[in-house]
Formats: sequence, structure tokens, C-alpha cells
Amino acid sequence: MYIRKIHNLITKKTISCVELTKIYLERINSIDNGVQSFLEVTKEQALMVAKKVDERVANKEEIGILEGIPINLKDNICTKDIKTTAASKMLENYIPPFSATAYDMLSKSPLLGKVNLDEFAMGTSTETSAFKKTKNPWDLTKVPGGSSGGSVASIAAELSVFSLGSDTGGSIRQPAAFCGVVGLKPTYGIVSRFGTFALASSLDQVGPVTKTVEDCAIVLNAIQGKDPKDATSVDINTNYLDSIQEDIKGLRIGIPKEMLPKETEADVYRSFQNAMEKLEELGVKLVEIDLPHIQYGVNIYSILAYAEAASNLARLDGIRYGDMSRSEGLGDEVKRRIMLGTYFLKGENYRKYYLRAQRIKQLITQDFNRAFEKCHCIASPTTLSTAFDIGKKLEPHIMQLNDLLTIPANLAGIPALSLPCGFDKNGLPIGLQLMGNSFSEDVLFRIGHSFQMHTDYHLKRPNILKGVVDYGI
Amino acid sequence: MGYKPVIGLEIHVELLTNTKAFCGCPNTYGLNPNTNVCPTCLGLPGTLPVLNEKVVEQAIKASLYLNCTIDQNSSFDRKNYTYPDLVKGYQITQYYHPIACGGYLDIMVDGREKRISINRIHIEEDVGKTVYKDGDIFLDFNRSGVPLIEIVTEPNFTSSKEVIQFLKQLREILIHGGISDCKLEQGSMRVDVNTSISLEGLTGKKTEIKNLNSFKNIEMAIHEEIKRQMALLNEGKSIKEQTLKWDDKLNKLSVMRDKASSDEYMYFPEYDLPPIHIDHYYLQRIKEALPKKPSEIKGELREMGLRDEQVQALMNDKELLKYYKECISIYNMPERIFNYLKGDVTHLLKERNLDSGQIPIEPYRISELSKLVEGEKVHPVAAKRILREMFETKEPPKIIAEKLNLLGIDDSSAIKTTIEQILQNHPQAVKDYIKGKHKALGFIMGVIMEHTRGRINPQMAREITIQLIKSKDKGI
Repeated sequence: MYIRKIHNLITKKTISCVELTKIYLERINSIDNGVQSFLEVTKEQALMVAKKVDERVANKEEIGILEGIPINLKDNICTKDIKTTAASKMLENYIPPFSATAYDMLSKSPLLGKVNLDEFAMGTSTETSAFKKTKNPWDLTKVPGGSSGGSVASIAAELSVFSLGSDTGGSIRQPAAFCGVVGLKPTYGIVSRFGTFALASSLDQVGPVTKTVEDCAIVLNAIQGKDPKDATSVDINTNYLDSIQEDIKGLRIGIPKEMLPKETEADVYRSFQNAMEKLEELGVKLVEIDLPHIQYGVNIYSILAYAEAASNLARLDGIRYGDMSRSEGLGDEVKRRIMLGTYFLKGENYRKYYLRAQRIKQLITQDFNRAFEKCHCIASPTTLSTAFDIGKKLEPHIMQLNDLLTIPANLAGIPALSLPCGFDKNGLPIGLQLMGNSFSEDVLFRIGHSFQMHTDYHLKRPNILKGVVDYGI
Repeated sequence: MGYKPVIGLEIHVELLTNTKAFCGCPNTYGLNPNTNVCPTCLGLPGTLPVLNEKVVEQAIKASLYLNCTIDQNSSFDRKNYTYPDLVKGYQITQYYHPIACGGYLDIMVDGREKRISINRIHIEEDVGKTVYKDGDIFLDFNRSGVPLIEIVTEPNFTSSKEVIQFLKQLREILIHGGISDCKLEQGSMRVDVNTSISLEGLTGKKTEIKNLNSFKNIEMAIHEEIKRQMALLNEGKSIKEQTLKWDDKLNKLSVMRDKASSDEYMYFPEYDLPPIHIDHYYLQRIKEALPKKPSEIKGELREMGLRDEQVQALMNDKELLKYYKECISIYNMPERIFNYLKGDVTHLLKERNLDSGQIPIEPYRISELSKLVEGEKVHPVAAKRILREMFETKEPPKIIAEKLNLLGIDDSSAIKTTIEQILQNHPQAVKDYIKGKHKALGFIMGVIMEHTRGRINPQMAREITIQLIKSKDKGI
């Protein structure tokens, strides 16, 4: 809805790209003072690209749907000649000499800037960023979630039309749920990882953060596909809009009890139930499934992801990046994970922890395979709670529980979509998570889009946007 | 004493490919520091490795030559450690599932054949180079990402002699197989030696010697290390598992560090690279295109009639062998052509600072020249001059021979006339010969050959000379 509407404004010359870009830049200037989502605003870059699109429009050339659409990128995605910091002191002044493939594929969309994240994507609140704490636009005293906090907050606050984030254990979906926007972790391999700082190579994926499910499908269309620079990328070229308007009668949605533990907040539980009722109204059949091994998810994630992260970050050796040692340049959460990751790989621990975790990962994958024999899609709340206070300073292993419901999809490599499905009594957004078998994003989009055509959670806007024009309508 | 040396080798071989193992940088030696790099082989954050298929092909070729079993689903792992020249903080290697294992190479030592078993062959990437200069440390990343195979032998060696023989044979196989140029001085072949001593079936701790960049150094280092270990054992002391360095200026061993155990490297799978799946057809194609083994090539050369030293001389120079084979295929004169190439051509190349890959004349020119000599159109001595001239002007040998007036005179009357003239100019020598002084004939022949500049067949000239003198004597 949103992207399509703006695209029409551009092609009908109701507004020029340059004007549109300037409007967003203005918004960032004013509203982001409160939200604090941007680390770097790239005004020149954005206007240059916008100008080119306007020239093509003037020449009556056909414009692609994402051309001229202002975007931002999580700051762990490389942008050539533009600072890419991973929100870390170590890379405070690092300017990559190349761009991520995902960014290259969006080269006709003006880049408004780079947005905030937990340092090196390690965290669930965007509080470990070395530079600033991003606020939840719905309540500036609350966290936006993490690690893609800047991405989701900037979209919720309509400071860009869409963003790209990264998701290793829930880093797109959990914040998307906290901020009432749509976030997708694609099937492992659909989107090239080249140029995105690796956290856990076997789990990472780059994905869209958008206002609507349809927008998410439009963006995925553009960034999918085999990349010769990423050996793990898959040769795929699906049109995710093909079936998105189809009705969802007869689709079976599985509900695992393991994903509705007693720790689930009452409001979250209620919103989820309402969402399931709504889907039943639309013709969906709900089935009970079980995923017996996902209870180990957080623990084995901690072992596998931290181990890979320790290895992936070893290249920041204190010789070539920044003029500082690793002790000085890396934050506490990063150091903690590196130490633990190293511990899990050393000597006997490799067999004791790492290999065992690998075996359980396989069991979780098998759980999903079995479940998908019974249903087309698995539904759960995205998170157990709504956004919590900034500065709450929870224990790291408690913080990791924020990802309890999102981690399993990363471990199994399957796609998972989070979309808004309600608000708690304080007006904080709640997210619905839909998971599907590998390469079944089209099914998730179909269900999600249908849901959005019959609800209006995605149309609600935070109070800070009172009086601000909504270009999506 | 009953002590027996137990030696095993770990050999790193840089592969001949167009580009590096995991990126598109050229696989070239000798460029200015840090000019042959890209974000991937510099390990910049966000970069990913992509396997160069040629690396797999070369590794399989080596595995086939060494009679190994090839794993059709090998995979990569990360070897994690910190060192300034290791850009990613880990090296991509194959620890758990190497591409090949369980092979052998039979070597000839002291007239007997001995089988050296190969434990494994695996693919890995090279690391950058640390250069120590003027008290400072410099890092050159040109070598980072260069493709290697590591060949690990079983500890079957019992002497440095066996080790050197093995390395010579291995090097020959790899060079003629087009797998590596095996230049120890340049580091495209690096040998680490593991040494221990066994007594009555029990093998002691082993040490690792690194930094050996010539066969001579390898031999000396092994000798020194065996001596050192024996001495310690005789004193009742134990051997510490250490890594030693060979100082080639002082010809001494020194301790580099305590040997790291595999635990320290935290090996785990490299998820950025999918497993290497080798199917039957791929393997078959490589087998069919595999260049001949050195033993086969040597057999063929011997059958042509070349002696062992000649065969080895050609085997030691791959480019020369290639050139030689082309010459032979045009004109089958193995011995003569070998002499031209190993003698004259090699000398001419040296003068011009060229190597055998840069011979400035086409093989068929050599064959033409051989034909002229064989047909006695040109004297062998004259042929040398023609060869030199060919290097300069690249003209056909016949044209040069005509230009330089070197074509043989076979017109017997012309020869007679020429010799007559010479005999007239040296009456004393003629008289001496008639008197019975045979040395005089030698003198006359010398004059004739010099005068005609080798254009007369010496045998023919000698016969005609004797004939003429005899007829003179008979009193004309």
C-alpha cells in the first residue's frame, strides 16, 4: 500500500523525488531528535539519486516501483564511501571501499542515511550501541527492541519508507513487534549476505523493515537472488506479489504450545488469540502442533551464535581498524559474547557444547519439518512482552529471552514474518509472528496481507506523528 | 644404540591458478607489497570467500598422482588464531574432511624402493607475509588468499636422504603435472619437518622444524635435529614438543615456540562455503586430462635412446622438455637435438638472461638445422654459429648458412682445387708427410679446415689430401 501509493505520486508527478526526499530529510531533522534512530544522514547522496530519478520521469521513462523511494540501512550494511560503523567505537570512522549487494540492488532508492543498532548486532534493545540509544516512537521512555532498533524506529516514525535490517536470532522481528511495523527474516540464502557484517554466518539474514506486508514483498522481490559474491546465496527469483492478493481459505496454521509459555504477558496473549480468531474468520484452519525441542533454543543459540561471532569478529585485530586496542574499541556485550563464544570452542568444550548444540539444532529443524507436514504456516506471538524501559539493565541471559520465540526460525533457516496485531494497555505495539517452510515467503505474505486488509493495526501511528502527512494513504 | 630417527613431513604447495583461492585477485608472485589485494583477501568486514574451482581441480590432480582416496564431499573449516599477517583472525582450511587421504609415493633410495605413505592432502589459503626490516615489522598481504594444498606424510622417513629423494620426486610430479612451480626459494613449496627418535618400537616426542627454504637446509636441519635429540636422550633427558626454526646463516636450530595443539585452533566448520561436491563425471574428466607421470615421461625419453643424465636434465627443465618434444616430433633425432638444446641453446639463453620458456626461435628451426647437419650440408662446428645467428635474426638456418658462406662444399673438383692450392702453399709440410711424419698431415688438415671454415667434410678432405700428396710424390 505504502510504497505503491508513493510510487504513483512519483509517476503521476504529483511530487518529485527530490521534494519527497527533502521532506523526509526535514522529518529526520525534527522528529529524529526525539527518536534518535539515525547515526548518519546522507543528504547529498540521497538528493543525487532522487535527482536522477526525476530526470528519468521527465524523460517519460518507465520507473521501477522502488525507484525514488527514500530508504535507510542498518549501519552494519556496507555502503561504499559512506561510513559504516556497526555502532562500534572500533569502526567509528570506517569507510568501506565496497557496498553490500543488497544495497547495490536498491541503488535507485535514495539513501537517507544509516541507522542505529546494538553494537555489531549483539543485543535486543539497541542499548549497546556505542553512540546513542534509540527510543521507541510509541513511548520515548521505552526501547525499540534490537538489534535493528534504528531500522524499526525510523519506519515507525515514518522517517523513511523502508529499511533493511539484519536478523540472526530475531534482530529484525523482535524490534518490529516492539515498534508496530513489519519485519521479515527471509529463508537463509535468499538475500545475499555479502557486505553485511557477519555475526553468525550460518544464521544471519538481511531482511526488509516496512510499514505493510505488501511493501515487504515488494522489497524482497528486489533484494532476493543468487550473488556470485556469496556462496551461500540461493538461485531464486520468485515474484512475491503474484499470490499475495489470493484469499487464505483452507490454509492451515499450526499453533505450538511451546511458543505460548506462561511467561507470555496477558496483553500479548490476548492480542495473539484475537489475531487467530480473525484468521479463522478469513477461512484459516487452526491446528495444534508441537515443537518439543525449541525449549533449548536460547541456550543453543548462545553457544552457536556466540562461537561464530567470536570467530567473525577476530578480524578486528586492533592493528588495522581505528587507533585502538580491542579492549578499548569493543563494548561490554560484544566482549562478553566473544569470551563465551571462544569458551564454547576451546578444547573439550567443542564436543561438550558446540557439537551438542549442533545436534539439537538438527532436532529443532526436524521438529519444524514434521510440523509443516500438518500445516502451511506456524503462528506465535513475536515476543513474550511489549517494549520495556530503557536502562532496565536486565541480566544478559534474561535479555536473551527476548528472542525466545524468534530464535527457532534462525536455527532452522526458515522464513519468519512479524506484523502488528494489537496494542497493550499502554498503547505499546504487539507483534504476530508467522513462520513457514523454507522458500514459502509467498504464503506468509498472503496470510499477512489478508490479515492487514481486515485489520487496521498497521495504519495506527505513534503520537509523535500528529500533524505529519502520511504519504501512504 | 638402537635409536632410529622417525621423520614425517608437512609440505605446503602453492597451486598454479589464475586467481587466488577465494577472490578474484591474480595469483601472481613478486608484485609490489599490498598492490595485489582486494576487500576479500584483506578480510574487510562483510566480505565473503567464494571458492575458485581451479583450486579443487589442482588438488584432485595432486591427490591422483599420489594415489590417494578422494573424498567426494569434503568441506572447509576455520582454523582460529591471532597473528598480524592473518587478516581474518582465522585461516580457511580443511581440518575435519580433507579432500584426499591415504595415498603413497614410492621412492628409490640406495637402489631399493621404499613406499612413503601419505596421510592426507587438504586445501587451504595462504596468509600474508611478515617482513622484519630495520627493527620494524611490515605486513604484505599480497600472499593472503593464495591457494595451497598441504601434503602430510606418515612418519615413514628414517633419514634425510630419504626425505630429499621424496621431495625431489614430489617436486618433479607437481611441476610436470602443472600443479605448482615448487620454487622453494620463492616459497611456493614449503617443507616442515617433524622429527622424533624411536627406540625398540617406542617413538618419542616429536619436534617441528620450520623455515626451511632449500634442500640443503632441509638436509642440514634434519641432521642437526637428530643429533640434538640423540644427545638429549643419551643424557637421560626428555624431548620437549616444540617448534624450531632453522637459521640458514648460522646453520643452527633455535626454539620458536612450544608446539600448539589442535585444541588451540578451535576448528569449526566454515559456513560461508558449501561442501565441495565432486561427482563421478568431474573426476573422470580430470583423470582423462591428467598429464603423464614423470616416470612415464622418463620411460619414453629412455626409449628414444637418451641416457639417464640426459633424461634427468630434461626433466629438470619443464619448458625445455616441452620444446624438445616439439623438435623431436618434427625431426626425430633425439641425441643430436638434445645436444643442441642442452649445449648451445642453454648457453645462448644464459647469455641473454632468458629461461627455457623464452627460446626466441621456433622448434622447427632447430629441426631444420639438424637436418642440414645430418645431410652433411653444414659442418657441426658451423651449426653452432648458425644457431647463434638464428637467435639474433630469427632467419631460417639455410638462409643464414648461405649468408655466412657456411654451406658445405660437396663438389669434389672444387675441394680438390682448394686443397691443391693449400698444398702448394705449404711445401715443407708435404715433404715432411712424404718422409713419414704423420704430424704434418694433421697440420695440413688444420690449415684446410680453417681455410674452408668447416665447409668440407673432414673425412673426404683427408682422403683427397692424402690422394693428392701421394700423386705428387709419385712424381708429377
